[in-house]
Order: sequence, then C-alpha cells, then structure tokens
Amino acid sequence: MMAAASSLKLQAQTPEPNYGSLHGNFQFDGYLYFKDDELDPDGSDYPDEQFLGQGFANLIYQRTQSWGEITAGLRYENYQNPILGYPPGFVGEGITYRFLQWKRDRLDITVGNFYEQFGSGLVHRTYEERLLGLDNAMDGIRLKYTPIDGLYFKGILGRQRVYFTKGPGVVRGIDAEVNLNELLDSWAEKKNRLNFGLSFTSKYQEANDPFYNLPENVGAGAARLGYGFKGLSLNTEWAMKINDPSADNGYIFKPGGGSITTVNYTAKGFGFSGAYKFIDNMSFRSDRNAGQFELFMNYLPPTTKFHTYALPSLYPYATQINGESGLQLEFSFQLPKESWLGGKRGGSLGLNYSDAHSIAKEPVDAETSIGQSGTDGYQTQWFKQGDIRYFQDINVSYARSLSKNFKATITYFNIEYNQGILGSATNSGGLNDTVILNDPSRADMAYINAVVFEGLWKIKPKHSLRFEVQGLFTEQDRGDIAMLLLEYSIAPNWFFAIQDIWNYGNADESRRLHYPLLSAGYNTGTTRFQLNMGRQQQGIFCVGGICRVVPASTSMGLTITSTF
Amino acid sequence: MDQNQRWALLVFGCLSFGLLQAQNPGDRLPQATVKTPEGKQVSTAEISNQGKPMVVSMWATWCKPCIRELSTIKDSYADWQAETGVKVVAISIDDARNSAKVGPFVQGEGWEYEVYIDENGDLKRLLNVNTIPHTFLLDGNGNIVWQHNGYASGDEDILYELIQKLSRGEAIEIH
Amino acid sequence: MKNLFAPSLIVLLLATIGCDYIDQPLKTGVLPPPDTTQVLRKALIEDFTGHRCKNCPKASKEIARIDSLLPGRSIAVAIHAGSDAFTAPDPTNGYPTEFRTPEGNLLQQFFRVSFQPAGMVSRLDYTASGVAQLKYYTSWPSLVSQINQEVAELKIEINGDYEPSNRLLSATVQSTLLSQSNRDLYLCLWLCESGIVAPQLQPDDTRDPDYVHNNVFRTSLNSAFGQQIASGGATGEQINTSFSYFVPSAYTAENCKLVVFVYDNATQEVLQAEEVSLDSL
Repeated sequence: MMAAASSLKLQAQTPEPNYGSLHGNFQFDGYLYFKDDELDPDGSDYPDEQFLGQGFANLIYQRTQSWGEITAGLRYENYQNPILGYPPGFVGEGITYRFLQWKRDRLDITVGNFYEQFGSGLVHRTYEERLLGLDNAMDGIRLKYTPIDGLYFKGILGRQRVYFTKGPGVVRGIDAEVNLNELLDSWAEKKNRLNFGLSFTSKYQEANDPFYNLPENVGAGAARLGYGFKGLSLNTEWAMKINDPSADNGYIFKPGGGSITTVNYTAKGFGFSGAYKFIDNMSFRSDRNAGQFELFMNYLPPTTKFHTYALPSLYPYATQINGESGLQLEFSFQLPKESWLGGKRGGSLGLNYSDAHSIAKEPVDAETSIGQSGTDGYQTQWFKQGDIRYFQDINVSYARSLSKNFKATITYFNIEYNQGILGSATNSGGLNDTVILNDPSRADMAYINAVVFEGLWKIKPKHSLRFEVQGLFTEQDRGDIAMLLLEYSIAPNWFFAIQDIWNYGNADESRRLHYPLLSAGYNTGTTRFQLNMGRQQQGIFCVGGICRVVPASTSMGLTITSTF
Repeated sequence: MDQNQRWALLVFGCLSFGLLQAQNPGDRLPQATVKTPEGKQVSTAEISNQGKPMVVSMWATWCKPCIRELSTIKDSYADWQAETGVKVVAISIDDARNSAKVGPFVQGEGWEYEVYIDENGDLKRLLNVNTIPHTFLLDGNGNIVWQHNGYASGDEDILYELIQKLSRGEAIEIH
Repeated sequence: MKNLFAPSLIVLLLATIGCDYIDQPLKTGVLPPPDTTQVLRKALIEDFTGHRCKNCPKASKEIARIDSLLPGRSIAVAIHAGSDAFTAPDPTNGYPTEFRTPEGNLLQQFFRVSFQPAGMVSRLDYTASGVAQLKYYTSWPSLVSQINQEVAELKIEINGDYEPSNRLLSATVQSTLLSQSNRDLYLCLWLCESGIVAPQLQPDDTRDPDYVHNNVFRTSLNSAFGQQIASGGATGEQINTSFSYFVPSAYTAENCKLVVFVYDNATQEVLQAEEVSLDSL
C-alpha cells in the first residue's frame, strides 16, 4: 500500500526544470617522510621538503536537452611537491584539463582536452595513468561522426599535454571503423562477426638541426581486422611509421613497424587468450626530443601478465619500444562444483605463459654500426626474433573454497628477467642489445621462483580477515624475500592491515631489512580516508579493496579520495 | 593562473552555484561508448534493465578486490535475479594490454553478467571513478541512487538489501 | 547530401596531412660562418651531469660535436649536481672524485633537475610549474642554432689578465646593451676547468678510468645566481664589472676558462654568454 502510494505520488509531480548535473571527484596524497638510516644510509633519497603532497579535483557538468547533450569538465592539479617516485616534472599547480563536448544524433564534437584511442592504440592513444604520472591528453578538436550504424569516423587535431605545458608537435589523425554486422542487413543475423578499421596519424614539429635533415611531418598508419565466430575471436592490427629520428631511437632514419594479433577462444567455463606482438622502432612522440613518459602518441601494450601481488610485481615487464617480439598464452578454467579440483563450491584454475625477445637486427652496410645516428640504423625482417630473451613468465594459479567461510588462492610464478635491459634494484638496466650480443653475461639474467598463498576467512557477517603469505626465491638481484600481510575488514566502513616484507636473502647483509607497514582506513562509500605508516617497499600495495603503486620510503602517508 | 584558467573557474563557479540552488531529478548513467568483448560498440544509453534495478560495477582483470566482489556476487546472482530481477553490468576498464582477455577471463570465472569494456576510460572519467572497484546502483528509472568504492567481504549483503528496497519501490538515502 | 558533409571534411583533412620522407639524413655542405656584421647571440649550454651517470657521456659527446661543427657559437658548462647516485663520490667502487659544488647544488634545486643527463640551453622556457626548461641533449644543436639566429640584445667583452706566479685573475667585463631594455639583468662569473682525468661510467655500464672531463663547473666568483648589473637601460649603455680572484691551487689554471653570461632575472633567459680561457689572458 505504502509503495503504491509513494509511486503514485512520484507520477503526479510536475516535471522539474532540468539544470543538468554536476559531479566530480578529488584525491589528495600526502606523505611525511622520516630519515631512515638503515634504508637510506646517506640520506640521499630523503626529500628536503620533508612533507610531499599532491592532489587533484575533477568537475563534470552534463545536461541533456532535446537539441543534444552537453558535457563540460575541468581538472585542477596541485603538486607541492610530487611524492617520491612520481615523475618529478609534475611540480606546480594549475588547471590542466578542460573541455566542452556536444553530442547530437550522430555527431560528437569536443573542443579542449580529450583522450582518444584508434584501434588498440598502435598509432594513436592518449590516456591518463594517474598513479604512474602519465597524462598525454590532446588539447584541440575532436570530431566523431557515425553516418549510419556500423560506420564510425573520428578526426582529431591538436597538441599534447606535457606536465603543465604543451608539446611542440601538432598532432592530427583520422580513423574509420566498419562493423559489418551493424552496417549490412544481410550480416545482422549472421553468426560470424566482422569488423575492420583504418587509421592514420601524423605530427608536425619544426626542425632546425644544423647537422641532420629532420622530417618535420611524420606519419603513421594502421589497419585492423576483427573476426569472430561463436566462441572464437581473432583480432589483428598492423602499423607502419615513416622515418622518425628521435631521442628514443638515437636519431636513426629507419621506418618503424608493428603488429599485434590476439586470438581468443571461449566456451562455458573455459577461456583461452593468445597474443603475439612484433614491434620495430615504434616509439612515436609528438616531440622528437622527449623522454620518460612524456608526449607518447601511441601505446604499445606489454604482452605479459600484470601482477598485483607485492613480490612478483618487483619484476615487471615494460614494452621495449625500440624493438621487441612478444608472445602470451593464457588459459582460464572454471572448476565446477563437486569436482575433484573444484571441491564442494567450485573454483578456478589459471595458466599463463609470456615471453619477450629482442628483434633480429643486421647492420645496414659494412661501415655502419647498428644504431648509428644519421643513418638507417639497422635492417630487420618482419617477425624475425632476436637472440636476447628479455623476459619469460610462467604462472599457475588455483583458487577454491575450502569451506563455507574460507576461500584460498595459491599462485606459483617462474620468472626469467633480463636485468641488463630492464633494470632492477641492483642493476640500472638500459643496456643496448649490441652490448649483450657481444657479451651475454651482461644480460645479468635473474631467475626467480615465487609463491603466493592468499586466504579469505569470513569470521562472522561483515567481519573478515584476508591474509597473504608470499615468498620470492632467487640467487640474483636482492636475493630471497618473504612477506606476510594481514588485513581485517569490517564492512562497510573499516579496515586495518599490518604487513611485513623481509629481504632475508640479500647478499649484502646491511640490506637484509624488514619493511613493516601499518594501515587503517575508513570508507563512507564515496569517500575514503587511508592512513599508512611504516617502511614501504617499492611496489604495488593492495589493501582495503584498492590497489596503488607506492615508492620505497619510511613515511606516514594520508590518502583521501572522494567522488561526489 | 592565466586568463583561460580564470575564465574556466568563473564559468564553473556560476554553474555550480546555480546547480546547488536547483534540485536534480536524478542522474543517469553518462552517455559514453563502450565495447562488448566481441568488439561491437554500444552506447551506455542503451544499457537498461526495463524498469528493474541495475548494478553497474567498474572492474578490471588485474583488480583483485573487484574480482572478489564479482565472484562473491556470482554465488548468489541466480537468487538475486529470481527475487528482484536485478541485472549486474560489469564494465571493465582494462586497456589494450588486457582488454582482449576480458572475454576469456569472464568465462573462466563463470560469471553470467552483462560485460562491457571501457578501453580508454571514457565512462570511468564521466563517472568520476578514482579507484576500482566502484559500484553503482541504479533504480528502475535508470537513476544512480547509490555508489560505493572499495570492497570488503559483507559489502555484497549491504548492496543486496538496497536492491531489495528498490525492487519494493522504497526510496534509498542518496549516498 | 547532408550525410556526405562529414566524410568529405575527413577526406579534406587527409589530403592536407603530409609526410616527409628523408633521403639524405646528413646535411651536406659547410655551414655558413656566423654573420660578422651583427653581434652573434651565443648560447649557454648547462649540462647537469655526474661521473656515475651512464648516459651522461652521450651528452658530453654532443657538446664536443656542437663545438667542432659549430665553433664559437656556444659556451658549455658541465655542472655535477643532482641525485647522489650519479654525482656523489664512491671510492669503494672506483669513483673517488668530488665534483659537486654548493653553487651547483643550488642551481640544480632551483631549476628542478631531477634526472640526468639534463640540460638547459640559455635557460629557455623556464616557468614556475613543470620542467620545460630542461632539454634532452639531442635537442641542443637545434636550440643552439635557433639562438644563434636571434638578434643579440647584449654584447659582452672581457679584458683582463691572469698572472700565473701568484694565480691572480683580474678582469673587467663590459656589458653593452645593443637595444633599449627594461629587463632586470644579472651577471654571472663562473670558473670552469677542462682536462680533468677521472673515472666515468659509460653507457655500456663499464668504468672508464681515464675519461677526460671538460667544462667542469668549479665555482662561481659572484654566488650561484650572480649579481644584478642593471634594471633596464638605453641602447649603447655600457656596464663595467671588475673583479680579481685568486685561482685555487687545486685547479690547473691553464685548463681553466672564465664563463661570463647575463640573464634576465624575471624569465631566467640567458641573453648573451662569453668565455675566455685563462691561458689566453
């Protein structure tokens, strides 16, 4: 009766004027650092400011009318100064993102800042990875037009953001995608799925180098195809870039090329995903002299599994933009209830294999060394793998419920990691392929075995205890490391965690340290406060339902994040 | 702050002042384009549950708490649907590195939700999502009436109480 | 008809996007010498470097290249300041030299240098937020070239004498305004030493024990940020700055040079730079 009465009341009200909606979010991270003689004997990592804090706030306004939908937004960022581990170029404050977007029927126009991706991003992707400090937003115009269902056009023009200013290069691009199942009536009911796309981007950057004839206009194009039939799907994208001498590739004039192919097969309770990638000289930035995370125009995804457990994530893989070939195979199985492996309540099994290798490079001629500036650099053949292994990762994970209130996951990792190329705690990395080909021992390969046991125990309704026991075993780099994490949550508001990482196997006795960490948090649902205290090791930290990247330090940190 | 920034702040100041005076009839899911794991483009305006409550959960294949939340709901999903007709829409923010694996991953976990991929974070930005998991509850009219960030064991029971309230036509305190 | 508007717009866009295919990467021919009728605006290259920074020799090579192919158009200074991991001495691993200086550290902090190699060319693009003033070494030739093509606002002449017997350097710097200026001008007098043989980490991670360090910043004669010489002035106005300085015995005076430059305190931009080697005085 009450329900009926209240719903009637809603219907009887006159429609209210539509002023649109205003929403936003904000986040603040502040760290008070303490001098720690064990962790950092000469105090060189200790920041002079002692307290480092940064924050941002986003505001978005949306309004839908009969003539279309308007969205406007802006973001204010403040870094006084950036926290340890964050790209140091983010120093200062200002409004770094603002845009106005109008959508109507089949047209979508954005002016100001925007993020866009063509295909899988091989020739154009602008995005933000806030935790890493990567933001290469475009500032300009974007036009999206869908003349008929199944045909999608995009056009972009502008410059990219770098810290608090714009890059020098002007970026323009167009993309067209066709989805046959939506476009053609004859395909609408077909079991086969087919879509394909073409993209082209180019940049213009003035050149007045006294030594080289540098190309001011550099273009890259890509073609992609996606096919699916029932549980099978195949996606492939091929890209080519003309000569683009840059700081990344040492000013060589060789064109670049890349290809990514993924094959998936799914059936009830089973999934397979395979990816193969070949990249040659595909670093593409809108400033030929930029470095680090600045001004990327494209995105070359790593074909490796992203690990979030603290110890295995000490050895992550990052795409070698100047050349690599990678393969990944991943299997997921759902273990049914009442089966031997699944137990009473079922479980899941995962298998992953990833491998990354160098590409085969031959000298251009007898007098030119590989990678020599002002020349073509080297010659390659499509899909010809090189002799250097950059990375290999084999994992098995097994998860199931052991009882009504206890669920556990155990994962095994076997990682081969090329420290000379990728860098680690004991090796600054960044070596050239040529150095390693001349002397393979310079690769300084690390052979790692790691095991993670994670359990979740529901003690009583709303009270749960999650724990992680991790062990990483290696004879190279920092040696063996062990970790224990206990996290107690009281839904929906509280969590408390205590964690210790112990590098007991370090060859250097003075570095056999404990990294203890205490955390507590309060969550109102849309706002959360989190306090961390202790010694944080470099890595990923997952507590209280959230995962974040943190640098090594001894500190007391406060994070406040809110969505409104 | 330069001229541009001052102007932008002024415009926003006026807008927000104006809006604070106004009553919003309700906020719908912002309009953005997401993809299905099969590669078809879908507008979020088309995602609905025909007058019944809907849960929209932002997740990723690398986010363990997100997977815990969605796996826990999976055990009771059939019962939830039978009692309230609720639909769970799981939108992944996996980028090109992992987006191809979303389909196989979902099958391997045995989830029966409606799954989409927000590859470049367009919907995530419009929803002002900072960290995941971030779960939204929409009423029968498609208005966002509740949202929650983070997951701890037991949160799904609180979510279900709210879903039951909505299906009975009761109002929920706006979070 | 309406449906064709957007696609044709896109085709038009496509038509305007060009591509520059380069057949001859290296510029041939000799670069024309600088125009001697005009005062050349010389660039100041400040290279923040470190003896344990493995990519830093690439930047030093770039400076040597600029010097040999564009002689007399730039003045280079190598400042050893930044992360201790790159600049501090490490005697146990064969890097005993202390190259750091208090002034170098102050400059590094002010200009927010946090990675190496990083450099500034005439301190262009300095702003309160961000690090636009830090230029990657591959861009230095273009920037030097760009600065050389600009009209110099200032002329610097150094007249002086170095007496080896008592190690006294005495000189007068004449700064002449070539056009009306309302800038807040500061003058810096720096002493740099070349030919220092000390270990340096190389890009292939090996240690070169006999590496020759050049243009190393040793000290400033008038503090890290210099002294004010004028706050504007008329065309032709000349400001004279005289000084005398005893060169410490730790430095090999014949390998030293005096670097003089004038910058605008508001924008930090270096308007003109000059150098003179002590053994030519």
